[in-house]
Amino acid sequence: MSMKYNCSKDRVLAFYFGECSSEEGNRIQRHLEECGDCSSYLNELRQTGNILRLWEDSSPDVNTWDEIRESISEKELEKTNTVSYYREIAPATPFIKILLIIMAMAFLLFMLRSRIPLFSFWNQWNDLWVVRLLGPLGMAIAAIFCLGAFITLSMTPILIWESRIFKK
Amino acid sequence: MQTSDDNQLMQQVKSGHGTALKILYDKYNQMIFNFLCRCIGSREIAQEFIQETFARVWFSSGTFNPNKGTFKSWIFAIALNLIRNERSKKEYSYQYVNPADIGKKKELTYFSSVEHPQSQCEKDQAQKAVHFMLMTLKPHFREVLVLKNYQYLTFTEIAEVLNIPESTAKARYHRAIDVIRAHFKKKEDRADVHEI
Repeated sequence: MSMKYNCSKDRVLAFYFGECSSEEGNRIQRHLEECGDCSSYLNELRQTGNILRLWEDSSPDVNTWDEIRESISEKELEKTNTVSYYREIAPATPFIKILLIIMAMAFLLFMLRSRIPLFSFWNQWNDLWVVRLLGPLGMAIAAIFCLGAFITLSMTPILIWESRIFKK
Repeated sequence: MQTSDDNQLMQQVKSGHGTALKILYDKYNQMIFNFLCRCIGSREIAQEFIQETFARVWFSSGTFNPNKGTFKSWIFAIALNLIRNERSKKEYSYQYVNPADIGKKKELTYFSSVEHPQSQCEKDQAQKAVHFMLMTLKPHFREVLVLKNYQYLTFTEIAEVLNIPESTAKARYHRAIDVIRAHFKKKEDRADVHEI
């Protein structure tokens, strides 16, 4: 007399695909001899498997590997050209990065001290709406915003050059 | 061990060795191609996607982590992402047949008459019938069925590829089997089958 065994589609599935141990397989086999539902499900799996196997495997075209190689070469070449371009305009050594940041801060400082009349509105600092609205806090916000914007603009080529897409 | 061989090859791919990618291509091209064909339903699109799959293996080799899964699961996941991206873009005619139209098609009646095709003509008919039947499955059921019955992935690997729990993968497989079997039951039994 076989042991009591819980019906389970998962167990029948594992049995069908041979994904259970031999001991478990023997237990399931004994259960299948007694359980109509599970043996019926096993038959369904077998019939479905037989039907699905009617669709035979096929192979890709013979020149697929050549096309893959060509595609990779084209993309590598494109990447190299882009890297070369940015390397010409923004060599990203640490020294250059530090120098750019110092230049950005100096530029902003001079702007605030009105030494460079490039942006005349800085001469009328109090005319900025954020300064009128928030006072000294507004002044700080405007300064931080302008510094951040300038640094971002100057660092953009470096950031792009160092971005992951250029790393193999 | 196959897995360690694949991991070693991927290390070489990361270092830029094209021959390692060629070895991986020779090993997996047929599996990936047939997976694409059976999920998309178009050989032409599968041909295009297999090129993109191996190109992505090359360029994304740095993201492969052998501690998180096997190479096999990883490459199938790449192929699957391609399929899903194009399906969402609707750029290609991703084939799906409404089960309600099944009664109007003669393809499925093929199985009742010939289960062991002998001639090439019968084999072609059989393949078309299976193709049609797979297209009636919703994509998430079809993916599991194809990975299990044709690519012989374990449910653990299928769960990794699809990024779902293993129990969900099994449940989807059972449901796919139910749908396929329902196609061959008598008309009066079809009313008991819940629509997916």
